Amino acid sequence: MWIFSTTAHSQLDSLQQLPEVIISDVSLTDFSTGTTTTTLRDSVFYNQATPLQQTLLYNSLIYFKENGPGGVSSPSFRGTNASQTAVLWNGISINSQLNGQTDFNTISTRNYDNLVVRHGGGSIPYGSGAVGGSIHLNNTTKYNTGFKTKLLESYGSFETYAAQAKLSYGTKKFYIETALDGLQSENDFKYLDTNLRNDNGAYKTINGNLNFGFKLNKHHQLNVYHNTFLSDREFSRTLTAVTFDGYEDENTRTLLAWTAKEKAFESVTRLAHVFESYKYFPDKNVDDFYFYGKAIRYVLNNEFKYQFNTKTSLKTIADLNITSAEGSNIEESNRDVISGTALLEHKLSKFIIGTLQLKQEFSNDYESPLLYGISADYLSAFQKENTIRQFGIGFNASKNFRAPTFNDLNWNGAGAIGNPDLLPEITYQGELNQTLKFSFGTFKLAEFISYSENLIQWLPNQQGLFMPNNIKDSGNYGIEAQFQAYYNFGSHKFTTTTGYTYVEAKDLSTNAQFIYVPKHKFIGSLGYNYKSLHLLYQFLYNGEVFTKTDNSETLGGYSVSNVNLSFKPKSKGLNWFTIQLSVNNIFNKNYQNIAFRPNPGRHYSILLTQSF
Amino acid sequence: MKTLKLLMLLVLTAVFTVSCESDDDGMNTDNSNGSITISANATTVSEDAGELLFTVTTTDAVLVDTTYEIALMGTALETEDYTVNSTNFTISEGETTAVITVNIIDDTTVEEAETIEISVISENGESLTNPISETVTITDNDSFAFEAGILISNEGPFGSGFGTVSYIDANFTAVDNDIYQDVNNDNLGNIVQSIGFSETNAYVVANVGNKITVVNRFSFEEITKIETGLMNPRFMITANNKGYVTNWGSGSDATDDYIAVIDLDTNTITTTIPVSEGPEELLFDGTNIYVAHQGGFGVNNEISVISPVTDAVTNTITVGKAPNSLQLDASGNLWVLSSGQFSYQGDEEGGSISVINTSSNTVTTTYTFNQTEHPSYLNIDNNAVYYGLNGNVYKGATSSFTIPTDAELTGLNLYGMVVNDNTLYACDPNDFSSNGSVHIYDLTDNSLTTSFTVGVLPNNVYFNN
Repeated sequence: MWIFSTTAHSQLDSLQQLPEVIISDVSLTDFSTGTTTTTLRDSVFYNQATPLQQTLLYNSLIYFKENGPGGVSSPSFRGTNASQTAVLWNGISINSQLNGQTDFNTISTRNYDNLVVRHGGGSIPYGSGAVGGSIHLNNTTKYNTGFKTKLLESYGSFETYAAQAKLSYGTKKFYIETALDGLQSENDFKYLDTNLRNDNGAYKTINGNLNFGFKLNKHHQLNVYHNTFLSDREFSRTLTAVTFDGYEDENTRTLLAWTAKEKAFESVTRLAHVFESYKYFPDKNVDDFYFYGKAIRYVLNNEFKYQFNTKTSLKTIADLNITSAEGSNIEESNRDVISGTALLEHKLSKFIIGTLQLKQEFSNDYESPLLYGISADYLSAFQKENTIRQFGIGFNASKNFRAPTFNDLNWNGAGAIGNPDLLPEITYQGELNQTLKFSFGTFKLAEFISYSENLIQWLPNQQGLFMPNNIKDSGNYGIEAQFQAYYNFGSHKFTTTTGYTYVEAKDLSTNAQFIYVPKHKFIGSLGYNYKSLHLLYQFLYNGEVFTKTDNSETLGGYSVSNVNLSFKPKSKGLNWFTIQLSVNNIFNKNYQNIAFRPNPGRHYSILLTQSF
Repeated sequence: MKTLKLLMLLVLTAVFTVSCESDDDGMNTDNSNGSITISANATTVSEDAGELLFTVTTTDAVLVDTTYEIALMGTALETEDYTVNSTNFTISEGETTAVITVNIIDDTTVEEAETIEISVISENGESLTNPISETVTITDNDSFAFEAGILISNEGPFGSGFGTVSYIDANFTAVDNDIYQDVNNDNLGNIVQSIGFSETNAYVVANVGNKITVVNRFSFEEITKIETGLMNPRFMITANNKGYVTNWGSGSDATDDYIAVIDLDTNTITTTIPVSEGPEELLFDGTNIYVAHQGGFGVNNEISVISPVTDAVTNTITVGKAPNSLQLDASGNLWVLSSGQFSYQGDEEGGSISVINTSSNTVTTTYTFNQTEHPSYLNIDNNAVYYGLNGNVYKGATSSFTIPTDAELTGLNLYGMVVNDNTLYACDPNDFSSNGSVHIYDLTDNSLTTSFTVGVLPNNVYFNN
């Protein structure tokens, strides 16, 4: 079950009951007026498949273009492309500096405490790539929690094994947590209605996190976060082409954060090291023939929030990024980026908050535009006796951007060449949103519109080499609707969450819908709980997509259903373990998300957890 | 007594007369071939003529009804190609002619011209010593769907989906896309790289699908598929009743490239010829097969000379780097166009044209382009040399060739180019993610005749006529 909020208020309320929890990414809660955010607690994703793609596929309105289980997965958020959704790890952007994207099957969610999906443009607080939206992976520091252990084991169809161990220790001043999460699968599922198997799709991933918090005194706190992700995958064949491709990823992120908090101000200073590397093997059996790319990035920034009075606060962010990249097809190159951001929040009345935002970036590699934004929301609370508990409306409008990547600027390879004169892609976007909170649930609606120019497209030049140019304009608009409700009948508890999004995303020169951007996505889940028994039914519908840019060919829409049955004892002697059985694609549907790439039919898994 | 004698004389006379008359009739019907002839209303008719009339004529009118029997001969077959009401006909008493009606069957099968021969073999049951006959030719009015026009190979999207073949008729009135799918309800495999031809068949090479689909080149009906023994197949030609297919082998092994030799009667691979890296296009000049080694995943600069008798490499000729196309001129010289080396492969080198004497198999002349020029799509038509460079088409003369400075056509988006009979066919891939186009130019005045939308990534044009 997930909760969502349009503003920070309700989220903070519910958190006050728990042991003191410090959130690493403060911008999510402050200065986020008028934006739609969806928070997923770890209870939602801990027991599900760990890749981030699977979590967001069933629990968010983002559409994913999936190269099969374990394969490369790229998002389309509000009709934007894969490099226009930013992924942030404890407040630090971790999209690849090489291609500007994040492969959503290279993020393992199990080690994180919560995930926030922030809809719409966020370049001003979060930088390049936060255009369609951003995903925030957060670890929280939990003091006063004592010694805790969590273990998980899972086994499923196609020889899929997963295991996780999480150990944490929290005293009044000190917190340490370490988690190790492994996943491997032969993934050799049968292609339904054929005599072929997915015989080149095995994968294994290891994800380790180490987090550390230390309260120096009442005002100062030091945090260290670290994540290492390693994966070794084979890239699947399709119905019509056999492959022997292999791919290795290695990503590490390390963050040191110093928080200083006084009555009138709060300052967070961060120093981070982000390393990414990939190796592509055209023949997985030939170890010494591969193409590679890697980038190292240092981040130094300071977020300074000053509270003038109870109504007004100002936050300034000064940020320095130094990146160097090299690869088989890019020459070693460096990029330095300095940026300054100012966010001003003012409480206009009892229920209305407004925000103004400004950002300017300077880079040695490209010309960065001045970004600006405005937002406001109105949130009222009614008496508890009313059917409607809360009513909120909000809006935001901003100018966002996506910087050209190292590949865009410096590529030199077979049949393709980079363009050092590229400009960033610019997007103007706006959103109106409405929230209704009832005693039994919440209904949220958002209407969005955006216009993008200078979108980078790789096309053959006069010499027949593919080259990127800022030549495309796009227009997107649509709606998002989310509904969540619960109903209790004695010990029987029912919950439901549903979401629907409609997206029009057009190439303005041809007025054709972009390929692999469906007009409709629908998600729904139904949960039933009776004492220790939990039953969950998950449903996903992805609409039809175009597979050619002239819209002359389509790939049909499809629906998938999963069922989980779990046993979570509540009695004191037994509540240390849970057991869960899952049937995925329960109706054995033969569906394709990308043309000629089948997905597995019905498959099963069993999952056990232990907590001490 | 006298009356009775008179009566008997009368009767006797009558009897004699009658019998004499009968004797006269028998002599009159003994018609030898001098007095009966047969003719038809035409010497050649089309299948759709409907009726064909054979007329039998006697020189003298017959005295009684006379029945004749006919035999049906010739390459046309009764009940299949034509019908007749009966194999007998009668000339009535006092008449001189009879007509035999042949009904010609207008079927839809494509056939060669056939003959119908009608022979009169007997008269009133008696065999004629010299039977008379007449022969008429029936011509076929049916054609294969793709008999006269151009075929276009479309690669299709990489990794998923299928390549296709399109057909445009010789008068450029309409395009028929995905003809193999329409005729056979099947697909050609992933990435249709090229098509090879024999006199009757077409061999569609699927590069990633690792198969060759063998079809009748005029009807595009599938004959069989060759699905084993190929690894990254690229181009195919036929020579000496064998097919020769260039294969790159595995991408990570530069030494496993080969030519697969196919027996065209059994459509199976009978042997393989190991060759150096990256064999691409081939050409047969009647004596030798020349293979251009563009380099596959690397860069190469060789032409392999292969004997179609021994199926072995007899010679290798060094040319410029990355030879991509080869053509013969009217004197039998082999022209090879190389694109040179791109900057990502090392030091950038411009392309070149090598002219090879096919008797000595040595390079006689080389023309070099500037360092950043990488031309492709060599064509020789009507003693003119054509090639594509940076979206422009250039033309020179085969005799006294110099690298031209001015372009014939500019601003094209080329993924393939063929010049034939003063007409230029340009394959345009558009944005590589949607259907491509073929643009047809009239080279007498360099004007655009027409354009058609074809499949994804059209890369070459072939001729059926």
